[in-house]
Amino acid sequence: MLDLFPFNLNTLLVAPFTDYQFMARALLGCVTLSIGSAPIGVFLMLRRLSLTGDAMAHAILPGAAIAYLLCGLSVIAMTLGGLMAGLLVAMLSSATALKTNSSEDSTLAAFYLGSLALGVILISAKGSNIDLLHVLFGTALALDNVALILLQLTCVVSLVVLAIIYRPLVLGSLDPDYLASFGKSGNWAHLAFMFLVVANLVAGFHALGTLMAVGLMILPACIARFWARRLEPIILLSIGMSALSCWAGLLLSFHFGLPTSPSIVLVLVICYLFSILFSPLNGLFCSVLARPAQPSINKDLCS
Amino acid sequence: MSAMITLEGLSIGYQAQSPLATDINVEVQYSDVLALVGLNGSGKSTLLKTIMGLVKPLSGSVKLDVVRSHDIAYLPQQARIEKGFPIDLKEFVSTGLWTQTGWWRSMRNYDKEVHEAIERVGLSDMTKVHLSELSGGQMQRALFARMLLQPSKLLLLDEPFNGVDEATISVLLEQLKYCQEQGATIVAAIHDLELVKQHFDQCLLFHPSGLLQGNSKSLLDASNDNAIEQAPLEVTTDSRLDLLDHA
Repeated sequence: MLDLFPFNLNTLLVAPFTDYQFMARALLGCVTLSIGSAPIGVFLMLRRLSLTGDAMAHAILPGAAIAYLLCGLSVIAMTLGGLMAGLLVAMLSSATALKTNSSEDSTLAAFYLGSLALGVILISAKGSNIDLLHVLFGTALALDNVALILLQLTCVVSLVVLAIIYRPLVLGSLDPDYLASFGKSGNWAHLAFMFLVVANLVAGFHALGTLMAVGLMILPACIARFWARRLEPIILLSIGMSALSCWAGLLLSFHFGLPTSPSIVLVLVICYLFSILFSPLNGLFCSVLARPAQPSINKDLCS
Repeated sequence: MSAMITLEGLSIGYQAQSPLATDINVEVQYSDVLALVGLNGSGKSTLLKTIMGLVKPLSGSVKLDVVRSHDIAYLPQQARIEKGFPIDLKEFVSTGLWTQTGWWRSMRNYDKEVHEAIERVGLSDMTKVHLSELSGGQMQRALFARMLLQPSKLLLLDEPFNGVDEATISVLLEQLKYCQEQGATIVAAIHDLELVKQHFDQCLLFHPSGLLQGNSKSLLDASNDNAIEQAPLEVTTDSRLDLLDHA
């Protein structure tokens, strides 16, 4: 029989993960990360903190760098270092904003830029450019057992904590003043949430690197927002989109020899662009189609 | 018997050098309905926020006979509500159950109450409508429905009728009356003097010459219907009685 399709779908889409263990581990790691961090991205987006995620991703760099220089490529040391640096920047920027009456985005910008600069200097002073790339873009294709366990642990902790703080998190995103009128419990929820953001970014940088981990967090939420109108479907859709993009990105990376984490993020960006154009809710094409036709001008009146 | 709200020697504002109002001595009794009237920037909203505990008093004291986080429903002037949040009207109104359900308890048991509150403000056929699709008036009705769900003893409302149509105003007034009948004490900042005269027995007038508390009709009529526009204010001795009592 004439083979109409020149590629075997199995070879193209599935075999890389069944034939190569490093690909299977990469997929497992990235999908685990997706399940924990995509819901967090949804709340970051709804709280208009999308870029805060990006800033925090940069802020964890010096902690990871110091740990890397002291202990080498130790997953645990780099995780603890990153966590401490991220939480320190988060707390310093919040406290400065509160004490000096400055806006929190300006204090966060100042501290994360300082943190990032310090991180780059630390790495380039002692390490090589390859080390820097390693931290910036991760090693999805070389995830060891400790890294995988860390990703799974972060995912479980994220889901449990999110379930606990879900209601104050929703009300705090929807109407922060109203939540504040019931006392200070909402602040604890926000604090726990910011901890989850940092923890997921730190876990994410083992797989995707500090710069790209935030992509897996924010982009699925932005995409899901174009396709669903209620919170729960948006969260589920963002997890699905995230996992699917990891699979597609890993395949792109495998077949074309592209760097892994940028491939995953690029797949997400392509999905985002598609959503902008074709979303049934507020996509550009749909709004053009839905626009009422201009009333035709009566020629008699014009003449 | 102590009053619901007792303000003693209270100065309000954001900077000690420039207080908005000083030496406020006011008592609000249980089930009273008090309107705060005055020019923009005279301190009406700040007084509400100070009672609510959102702004610290510059000096003096605020005594409440209720627990702030449990018994007060506060409706701010420009609620910082994220209208794009993916939630429908019913879910939004349900957030008023916070005191009853807290972080984890199920909201399902309160389904009837939620529907009743929505029905009271005339939005029964819009329970599934997305928050972003509500008009200004409908949003204000939704906020009232949410307030009705709270088991509050004190309502603090900052310009609740601003920018809403007549029909909505009459629905909301009806609900305030219902709340009062249920025993709630109501303090509302309102700039529409006619509305105050018709529906609020008592008012607290923020005037450059000082704060005046008294019967709304006599206090506002005494100032030729333009009490908050003109200075100096002429008020009858009767209208000053309450103020002097508490001073």
